[in-house]
Amino acid sequence: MSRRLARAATCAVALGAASTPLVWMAIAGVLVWAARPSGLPRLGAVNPVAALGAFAGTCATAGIALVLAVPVGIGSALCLSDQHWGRAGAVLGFGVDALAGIPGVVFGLWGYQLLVPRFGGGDLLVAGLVLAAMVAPACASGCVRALSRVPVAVREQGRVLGFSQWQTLGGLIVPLAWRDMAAGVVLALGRAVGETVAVLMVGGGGVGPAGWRQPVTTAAALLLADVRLAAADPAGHAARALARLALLLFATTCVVRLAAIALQRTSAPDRAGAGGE
Amino acid sequence: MIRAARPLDRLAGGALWVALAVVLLPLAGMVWLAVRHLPAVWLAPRGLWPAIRGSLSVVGVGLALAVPAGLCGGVWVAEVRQGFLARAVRLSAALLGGASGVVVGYAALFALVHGFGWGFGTAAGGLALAAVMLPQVVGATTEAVAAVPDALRDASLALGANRRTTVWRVVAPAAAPRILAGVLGAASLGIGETAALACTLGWTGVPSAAGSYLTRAVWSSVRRPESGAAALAVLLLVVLALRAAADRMGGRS
Repeated sequence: MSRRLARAATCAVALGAASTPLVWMAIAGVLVWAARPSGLPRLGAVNPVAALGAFAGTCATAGIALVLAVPVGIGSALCLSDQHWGRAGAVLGFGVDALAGIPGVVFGLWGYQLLVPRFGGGDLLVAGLVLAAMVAPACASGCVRALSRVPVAVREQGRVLGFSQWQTLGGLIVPLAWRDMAAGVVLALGRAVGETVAVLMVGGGGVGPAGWRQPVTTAAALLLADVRLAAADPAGHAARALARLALLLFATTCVVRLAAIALQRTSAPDRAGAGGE
Repeated sequence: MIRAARPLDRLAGGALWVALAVVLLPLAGMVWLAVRHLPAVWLAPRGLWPAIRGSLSVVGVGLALAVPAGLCGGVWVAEVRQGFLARAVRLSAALLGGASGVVVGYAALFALVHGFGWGFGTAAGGLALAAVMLPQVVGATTEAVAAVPDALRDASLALGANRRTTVWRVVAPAAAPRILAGVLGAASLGIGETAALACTLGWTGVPSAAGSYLTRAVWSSVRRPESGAAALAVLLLVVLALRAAADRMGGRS
């Protein structure tokens, strides 16, 4: 009786666990099915040129964000990982963590209210700046986690050897943590690639990256902006074209995540904690 | 003896401080945005109630679906560790966690709203939101369970408890605070999700209309600044409170 109950419980947990892969497969399957070639002439509003332009916009905005945010994010992570100031450090660390968890739409409104008027309209530069503001705390948060995995003993050893604070950081701690830090940066990049509403609010709604001060859209933003068209003709061409764009975006984010896993796997002392965020 | 800080060190320290300040700057801007419209915030909540209710109900449905599934997934990954299912859960949670909300929303729109004919509403929205929150719950549970020292498990097993009892009576209580923190993190992720909900709850821009939700109200503040500022203040408050609670609950998730 008890053994049968135990087996049933294990089966139930396994079934619950299986739901995560199943959800992923369901999303991938729906997108592949929705994007299947139709053989009909394309009449929808989303033509392949616009989709490719939007994807180029994704690369451009994410690239700008990365270039701007990574030095700042890593710098602030190094600043935070130094645990000498107790309570103030905890408050600042919480601020960075909280900022990393603040929804994209809030960043979008921040950019729309405070940056767009100053720059005289939404464009590639403003979209890149807003994405950089989103990526930097995510990057910092990931790097702080990576740095905190380095044993305290290493820090003590640096102290004992007479290294200064920054010599310890640069010479001992970062070399041990850099793979996890790189994984954190890649995860933050994934956030920039997938961000939708913020770009929609500050991008100005162009076609592709035409110039610094030209309106821009990204794959995710175009998908949401045009989703109404798909709703207007659920079996039509727009829905199919958008599904292709969604599939491309899904594949891109998956590749980004795989890159992060590959970076982590070789270094992480605790393999089990590799999933999730 | 600790060597005194040299000029170069001091310069490096200063640069890092500047970096931290730059990173935190947007937070100040957001708080200022919310505070600047404070009079509007006091007036607007009456018109904002439908949006708040919409957000709460859809996050509730999403959590009801995502938490049991995520708990099972995380426990399986951290306790079983090997085997096909554990690897599949770990990999799919990582991949799903990176997926953009708009992609999940589009799949839900195509399959649930139109394909199955559910129409826009809490059912489709909750399911889409569950897919967004699930990887977060799996990740937090995995970390929480993996953080329980093996010595505790060994002690339990040595006393004659079987695997199930060990997980249920020893590991679960030890991991519970961090799991709860992860669930709160997932809730804050869900309440801030916009794109997935825009595809599954419809695009009502008026915060006082049925079928509205908080992030939509913030988004539509491009046209309605007053209700948008109020929604921004509420959203910011909720997200920061959930973060603070999760932080206090134990470990960052």
